[in-house]
Amino acid sequence: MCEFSEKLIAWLDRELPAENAANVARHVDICAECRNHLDVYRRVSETIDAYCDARLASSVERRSNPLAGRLAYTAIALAAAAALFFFLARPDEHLRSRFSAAPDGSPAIAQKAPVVAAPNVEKMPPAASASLRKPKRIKTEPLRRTPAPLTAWPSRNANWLPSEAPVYIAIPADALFPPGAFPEGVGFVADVNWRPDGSAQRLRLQPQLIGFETRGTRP
Amino acid sequence: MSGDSLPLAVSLSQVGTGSCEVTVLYSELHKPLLRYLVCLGLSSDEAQDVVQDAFVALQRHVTSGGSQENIRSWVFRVAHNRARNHQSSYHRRLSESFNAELHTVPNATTPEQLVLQKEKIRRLAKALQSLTKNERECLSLRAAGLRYREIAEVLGVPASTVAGTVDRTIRKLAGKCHV
Repeated sequence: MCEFSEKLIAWLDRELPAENAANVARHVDICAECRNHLDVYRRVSETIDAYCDARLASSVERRSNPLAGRLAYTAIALAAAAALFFFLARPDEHLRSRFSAAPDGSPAIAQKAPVVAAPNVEKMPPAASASLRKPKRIKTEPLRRTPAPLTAWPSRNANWLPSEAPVYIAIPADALFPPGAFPEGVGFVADVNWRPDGSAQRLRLQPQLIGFETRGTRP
Repeated sequence: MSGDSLPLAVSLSQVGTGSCEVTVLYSELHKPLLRYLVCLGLSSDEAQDVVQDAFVALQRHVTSGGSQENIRSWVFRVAHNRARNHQSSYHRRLSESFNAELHTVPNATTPEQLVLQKEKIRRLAKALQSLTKNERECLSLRAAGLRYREIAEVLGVPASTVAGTVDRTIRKLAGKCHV
């Protein structure tokens, strides 16, 4: 490596004392290696300048259109919510067909669809039933009632055991989506259906203006 | 408080003696300061606030009879220190500031130039991630047009250290960028 190479950048930046600068200038005229290095350093410096300009321009652009980023986030969040709703709604459709009324007017479930695990739940000893229901975080009561036959369209709670209260969990929007995607105060109420074995079967999120202090179980 | 140049213009118009020099300095340093602060990772609003604070401090400094020697590095030093006060964004964004996607590339007139320029900048941004905080600050101040002596005053290090850091950093980038 040429002995002048260490001074090239300082020379390029005009930081060398006049005498040293003159020496380097004379050397660069006759040294192809140093000229090549200088060319590379000059291009890197120009790219750094371009980068800083681009950052400033991008920053100003974002500032002049502050809604763009938020709207993009909102659009993504809404698309995600729509997709989530679609996939969660499909089991509901499936349940609709299962629970739709038969031609004679009687509930189809009473004739065709087996009530999932309901007879087993009744036969289970209370201790075993309680242990299976352990994952659920609500206060449970011993199962003592036989599920009544469904006589009407049970809406979205079709696969709940009739004796169970629905569980509502308030979730801040920021916990699900990027910060700022939803206005402050918007949250989601998670509508959870549980299988008899205690695992979650379906989760439905509903955006609501909520006070998050109301989280918990409600009838 | 944030805004374009209006709040600062109002502040400067209210000052008396020495306001002319400060106004001239403002028109000279406003953009380089903004560029430096944005490259450090501050948002446009935060950078505007810091620039405003720095020039208000400069006005007070001048009217109170403070030294006007090396005034450029004085303004940059004040802005540099105030930028650090934006702790929540400074430390978070300094590491990612060179990682951000660039939406605008100035001086690219044709689509081909735009693509080439973006590719160059993308490679540089990737290479910049490997630099230390000190190296990036040195480089940003150099890009803002400060001399080595001035950078040394802003960062509080010897000028020889700045020369060595700039030299090492440019070589490192040249080795990684292939521009």
